[in-house]
Amino acid sequence: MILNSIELLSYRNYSHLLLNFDPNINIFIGPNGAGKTNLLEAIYLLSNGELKRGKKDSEAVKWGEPFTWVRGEVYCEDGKILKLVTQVKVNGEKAFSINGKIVPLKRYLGSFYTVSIFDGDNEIITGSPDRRRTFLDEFAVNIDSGYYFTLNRYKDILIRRNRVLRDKNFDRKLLDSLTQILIELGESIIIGRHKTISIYNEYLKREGKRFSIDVKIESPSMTEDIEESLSIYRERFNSSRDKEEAVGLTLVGPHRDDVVIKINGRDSRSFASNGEVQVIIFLLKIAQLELIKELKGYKPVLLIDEFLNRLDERNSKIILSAIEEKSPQLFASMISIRDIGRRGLIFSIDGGDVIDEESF
Amino acid sequence: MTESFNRLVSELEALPGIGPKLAVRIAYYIFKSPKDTVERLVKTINDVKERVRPCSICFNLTEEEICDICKDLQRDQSVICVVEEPKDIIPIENTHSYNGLYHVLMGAIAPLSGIGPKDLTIDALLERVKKGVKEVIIATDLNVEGETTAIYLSKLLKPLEIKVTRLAQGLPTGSEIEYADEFTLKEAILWRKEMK
Repeated sequence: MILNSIELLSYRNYSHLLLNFDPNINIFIGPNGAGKTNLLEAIYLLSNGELKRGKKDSEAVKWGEPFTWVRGEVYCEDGKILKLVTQVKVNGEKAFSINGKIVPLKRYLGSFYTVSIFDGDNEIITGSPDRRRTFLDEFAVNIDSGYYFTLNRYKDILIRRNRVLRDKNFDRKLLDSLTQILIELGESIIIGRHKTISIYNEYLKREGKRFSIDVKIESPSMTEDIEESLSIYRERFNSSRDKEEAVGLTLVGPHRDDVVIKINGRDSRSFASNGEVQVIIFLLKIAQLELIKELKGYKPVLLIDEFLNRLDERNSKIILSAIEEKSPQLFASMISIRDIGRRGLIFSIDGGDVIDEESF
Repeated sequence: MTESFNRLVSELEALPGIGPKLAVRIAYYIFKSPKDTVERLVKTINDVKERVRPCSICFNLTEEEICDICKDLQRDQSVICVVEEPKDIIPIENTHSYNGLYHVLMGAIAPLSGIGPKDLTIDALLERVKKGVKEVIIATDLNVEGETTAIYLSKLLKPLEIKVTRLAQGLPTGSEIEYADEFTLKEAILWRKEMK
């Protein structure tokens, strides 16, 4: 997919901006606080219908303005041209349109694919298990679109089951009913995660070769065999039942399973250096790019904030060659320009405006 | 606005499905209506409160001891369709394809709102089932509360060795596959039926 142009109105520190992009490489250069990341986030918003993790959508609206919109024109491999609009009001309400037609978020998602690397993504390695579960779950949705519904229903049932467990004179049959529904949904989630992990690992194995590292996703509560993983779940669930009645919480299940990302056989959370964390994140994302390309038939656009920052010469070179080989359209922010060995456009940004634009 | 008018608006706003703007519109309509129209409305509301009560067998609404459906001996006395609220009976009756009896639970199991099995009419259902019922059709909603209630009921009813069924899940008639949500479509594939 190629993002041909973008137009922003009252977006963050931008009043109005219209940019035409290079089909290969687009670099945003500028000092801290100039608005480079904001531009990448605008593309992210256009693709995902929401700001990245941990930000309120209403933050997209320029201070003092009633709403913002981000418009983009996307060229698809199959010849389709998509004119996309995401509008966010200051109260957080959102509206989406594709080629002039208002569509619900569900229809809007999956029209324009991006894979992004922002600073906060390091938490996939360094953060809590919850962060890694979410990372995996967000991806599982690409493989099985029903996964999202199952996950939400699991959460709904979990809250209710915990409430019943906390009730001193709970109805045994009610607990059993909720348990039955929970386990059924839990098994679907485990099946979904199992499938996602095994597909993901194939890609990681392939892509990891260039860095001569072996990155693998594992879940301590699962084995390679899905049937075995399911029976481990049921056994662990059943053996925790006395304890969970004492503490009033569902102790075993997909909501508590950790996901471990291993580098050369060791847990990256404790053993990866800063540079390695960057490499692992890049690997995870490039695997995602390949996966989406194969599953959906469209090559996602790649967004990278603080491109090549914190990376040594060797890893930078490998990353650049990987990008060249995969050849997605790239949008990257940098403090100052570095030779990246390919042609594209540089946008110099300062104070919420593009002050210069040149080919390189 | 005046004090009485505002009081009416707040009373109306407390009703389900009525927001502040609609409440003002209704209140204004009442103000403009002739006196006898308003008196008739007040009387009708009072009548409902005084006369209508739950059927002593199935908890459907009735003005007598037993509702019209329970009284009707033409209906199949061996099948009971379990619904959450009396209002759920109307659409099922409108299909004209069900000729059994009903049982209204008066809600669904909702642990988060503190509604447990004891707050529903489940004991009365069990008593009825023991008197020669062959099948119970569970027609609770397909949301979290309805599903929980359905599983709970099946756990109670199965040991009584009767047939327990659940309304089928699948695609609505006239719908387009392209626009079906994936979960419904998945259910529809799972519960597909052979063509005659």
